[in-house]
Amino acid sequence: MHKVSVTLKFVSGAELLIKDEFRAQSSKKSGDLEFKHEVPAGTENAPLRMKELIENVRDNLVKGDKDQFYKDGKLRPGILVIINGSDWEVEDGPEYKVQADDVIEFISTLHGG
Amino acid sequence: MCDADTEHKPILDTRLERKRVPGKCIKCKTAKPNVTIRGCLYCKPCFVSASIVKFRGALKKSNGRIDAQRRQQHGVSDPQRLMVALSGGPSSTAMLNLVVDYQQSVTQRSGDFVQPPYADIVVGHIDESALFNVPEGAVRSIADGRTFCEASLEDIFSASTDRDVLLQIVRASMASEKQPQQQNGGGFSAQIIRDSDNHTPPRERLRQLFSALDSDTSRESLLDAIRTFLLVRLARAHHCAVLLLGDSATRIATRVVSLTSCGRGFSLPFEIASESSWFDGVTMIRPMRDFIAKEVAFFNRWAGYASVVVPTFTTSAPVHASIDRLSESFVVGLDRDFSSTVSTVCRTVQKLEPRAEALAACPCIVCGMPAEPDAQDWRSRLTVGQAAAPASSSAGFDISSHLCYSCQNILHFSESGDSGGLVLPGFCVERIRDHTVSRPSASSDAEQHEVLRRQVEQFFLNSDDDDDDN
Repeated sequence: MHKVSVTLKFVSGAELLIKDEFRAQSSKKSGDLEFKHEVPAGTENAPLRMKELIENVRDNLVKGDKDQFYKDGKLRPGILVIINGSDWEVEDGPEYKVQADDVIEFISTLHGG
Repeated sequence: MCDADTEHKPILDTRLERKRVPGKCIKCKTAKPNVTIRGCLYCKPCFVSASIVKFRGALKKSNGRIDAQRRQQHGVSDPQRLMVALSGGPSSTAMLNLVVDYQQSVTQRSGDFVQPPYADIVVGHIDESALFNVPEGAVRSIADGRTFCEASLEDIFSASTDRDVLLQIVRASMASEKQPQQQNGGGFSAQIIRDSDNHTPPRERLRQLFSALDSDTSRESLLDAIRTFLLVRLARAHHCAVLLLGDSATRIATRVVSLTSCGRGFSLPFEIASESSWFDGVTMIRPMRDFIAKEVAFFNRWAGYASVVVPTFTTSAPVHASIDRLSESFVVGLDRDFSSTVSTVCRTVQKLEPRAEALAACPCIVCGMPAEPDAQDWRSRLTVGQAAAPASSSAGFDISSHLCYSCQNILHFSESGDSGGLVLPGFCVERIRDHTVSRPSASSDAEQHEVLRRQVEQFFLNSDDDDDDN
């Protein structure tokens, strides 16, 4: 299946939710995580949206209790998403159509990470 | 960035000027927006400058109120030394940079000498490495060369900074006991012990104290209390009359729910106030009170300020791990679906005024916040408690009236270790001493009060009579 490669970043405590094996792939030396990730591209009728990408992250990258990242069809409140430097809420949020080489950043604003 | 104030153009108050341009930044009305805050779209440069203006507005408002108060009390209001409480988290990191930027922008204005808003800005940090893994030196690098004052959590147990006395809880039971045969009646009693009786290192003592508590809710409350005590002491030691705290609007709204749920309603107005002078000689200001967590995160990202993750007892824990965690989840969840929840809660609670009764109340010996005088009686009318087991030792004295409702809860649910009851730090003894010396008791228990005063004093007879810590 055709795949799309995106850059994922997890910072400000969001990195604590990600499986340890991805730390080795990270290009950052600090606690932050940054690595390339491949996700199955959608079809012409159903292109890959942020919603599917986040579900892919939950299934493949998030360790432990998945509810800490995604619950009831929504990203956990308090986790911000930045797509190519802009708040995802100005970019259609979960409906945003993911493009190759997008840089997608997850920031936790929760107290204590 | 420094001249955001001067660049800020006067806003023409016409309908045309205020009109939004769909899909464009609400300020410049030309750029593609990068962030949405409470339904308003901002581009990156407009968001950063709006944040600076907002911070300065909040800080100036607080400064104005404090200056007016000082002028009334002392006749003058010279610039004071300022301590910025820096945990290293996003909000305090943004606050430090914003206040330094403000100070510089005022002093660097061209031409005439302008008096800076503050005599000096120093950074105050509480090292929590005794309890949590924190990357070494990370917070110091945020302070970026400014005077960095540090205290460690375990300092509360180190004899070099406190007198070598400790307070050991003998009995802690919420059940009200009014049996006349019990000389030391009341649910909470304690005895003063000397640190030299036991050679436990301060870090170990601190860990023992926290591990004896029953829940992460209690641990977070006690950690808050210790952190506040140390910050106030640090500010006093460095002659800073003003202490800036980095509570964001999201944090304040969360604390309103969690403090109320923990039974801290009596002291709530002090703990979330924009300005509070509860602690003698140190005024606390919360200038980040108008920023929601999302604004802080975007501001730091775009202004290039790196912060660290400050762990707590419930880091990576499920939402039910503590009252604070659950309150945060509730508030943040509401704010996602109803985007002004946090600001509405904050604006509402900032109207809270402490009751005269709270202003006159004695500070709780554990948390230092006002303790409602009859917390124990009030509880006994509401709670069905089990009768307390007889105390193992009768050496203790009654401390019920020196504890706030919430700290009574914390002590009640704690476990006593093998070597006796929970051991509280020396500052609790200092606070009891302050109560007995400075606040004469009501005539009905004057005798008991005098007995307690004598008991406490004998521990201080051989100590140097240096400055008291609150």
